[in-house]
Amino acid sequence: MRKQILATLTAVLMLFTLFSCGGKETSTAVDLQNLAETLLADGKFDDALAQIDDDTVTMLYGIDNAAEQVVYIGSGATPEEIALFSFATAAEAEAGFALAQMRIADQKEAFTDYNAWEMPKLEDAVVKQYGTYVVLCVSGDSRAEAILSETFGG
Amino acid sequence: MSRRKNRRYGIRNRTGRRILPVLFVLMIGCAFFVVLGKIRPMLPTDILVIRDNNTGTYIPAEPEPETKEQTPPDQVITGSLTEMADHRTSFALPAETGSEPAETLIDLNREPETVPERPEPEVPRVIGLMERVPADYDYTAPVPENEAVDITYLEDALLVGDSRMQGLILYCGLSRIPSYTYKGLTVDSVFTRPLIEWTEDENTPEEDRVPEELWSEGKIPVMEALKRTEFNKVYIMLGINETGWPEPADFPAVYGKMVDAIREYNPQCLIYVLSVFPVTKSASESHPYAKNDKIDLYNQYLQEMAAEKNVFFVDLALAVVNEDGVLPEDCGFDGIHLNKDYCLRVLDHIFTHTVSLRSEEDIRDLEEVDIPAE
Repeated sequence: MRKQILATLTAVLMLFTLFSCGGKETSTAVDLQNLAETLLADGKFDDALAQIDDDTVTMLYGIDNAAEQVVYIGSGATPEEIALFSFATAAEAEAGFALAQMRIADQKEAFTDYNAWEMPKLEDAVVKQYGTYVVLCVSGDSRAEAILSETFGG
Repeated sequence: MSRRKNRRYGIRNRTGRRILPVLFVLMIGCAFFVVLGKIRPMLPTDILVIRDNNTGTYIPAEPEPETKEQTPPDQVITGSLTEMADHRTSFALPAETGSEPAETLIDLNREPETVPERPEPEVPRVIGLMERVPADYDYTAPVPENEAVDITYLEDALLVGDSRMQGLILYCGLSRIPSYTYKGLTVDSVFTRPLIEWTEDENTPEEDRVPEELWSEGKIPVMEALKRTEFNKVYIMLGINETGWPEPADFPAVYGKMVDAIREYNPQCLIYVLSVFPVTKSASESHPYAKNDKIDLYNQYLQEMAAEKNVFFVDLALAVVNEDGVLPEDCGFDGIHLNKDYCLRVLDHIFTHTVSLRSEEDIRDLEEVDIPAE
């Protein structure tokens, strides 16, 4: 009897271990402001990005339900941008991810015949979802992508 | 088993118990009818007695007969029954005492007298913003510096412009102000390029709908959206992209057409024409068409157009240029678009250069003076 109980407990423990290894959901909170400043400092940006307020973020992205958001945009001469969002649930993050992709699509349309030389930055834009986080980064090289991957482990 | 106590205190015999409810019902019934006025309770004064002095006994007094006042009849209509039934007949009324002996005829076929309607209380007319512009306002000069306003001044405004206006909106927290902007927008593409996402109300009358040919993927041109937007002021920031036009004279012509269209849609709105602020020296030298001398020419055109069409020219260069009259090299990434710091300077200039309007009371006082005496 004792052996059976022990075997059952061991099996349950193994199952828990198995589930904890799967998925890309990050369990540790990410400091979005700190991350944005790291990207600004270490990423390649030609434009001078400035942080915008929440109303402006909503106007640009259509996102109004983020738990936290940090967005930096350029002067308009370039599509360079950093947008970091944290949502309450993965489902909300999924919706936010779709809106971030739309933002890139709109920018591509705008820059088609306006400063078209900036288009490669949009083609290489990083738009990803990491569990309840959505990140967007349009920059001049891949350093931003490396920083994001290291931060979120994806 | 306990004996049940007799809880009926007072009347103990059976007969008494039966009579009491009956009496109670009679009493309630009488009270009810008194309330209705059907009967009147007998009062002591009802029984009037007088002492017969002869016999020394009291005898009931005879009530005095009631005398009614004779009221004269209001009208007496004379006539036979046949005549009364015949609606084509007029009837003669007896002359009233002291009045003229002439007969007063009543025509039963006449239209009932209509009660004259009370005149509607006079509502002061709405005075448009352009009516409040001082009569001696100098449209040939840029809007002078004035007492500073704040963002509330823009709450009934519409912002129209190119990427430079976009920068101003994004950096200065103007996202709540209605705006129609797009990168590369020009004074002619505002009429033709479907850039503004629009949803048309299905109850919109046919004649007010956006023409089918102007739609594209749920978007319509700026001027079609502007036509269907409520605003009291409009700020226009266009011109830098038009410096690439082969014929500079086309710029004021098409800009004027845009202003005329806005006037037609909204005759009383204040139209602020924001100047094309210059570029940096290096950008002017390197850019294929955005040259400062051409920008100066375009601003001259705008100022002339403002004088001609009574719109308000705001010279933004005053807010951003250096001692050489060009943008400083640190104003932004490409020497054309402003960074946040310089955008805030532009906004500050806009807030300190608004048109000073007369009050509505002053306008009405002037109107009263102008009314000729009867």
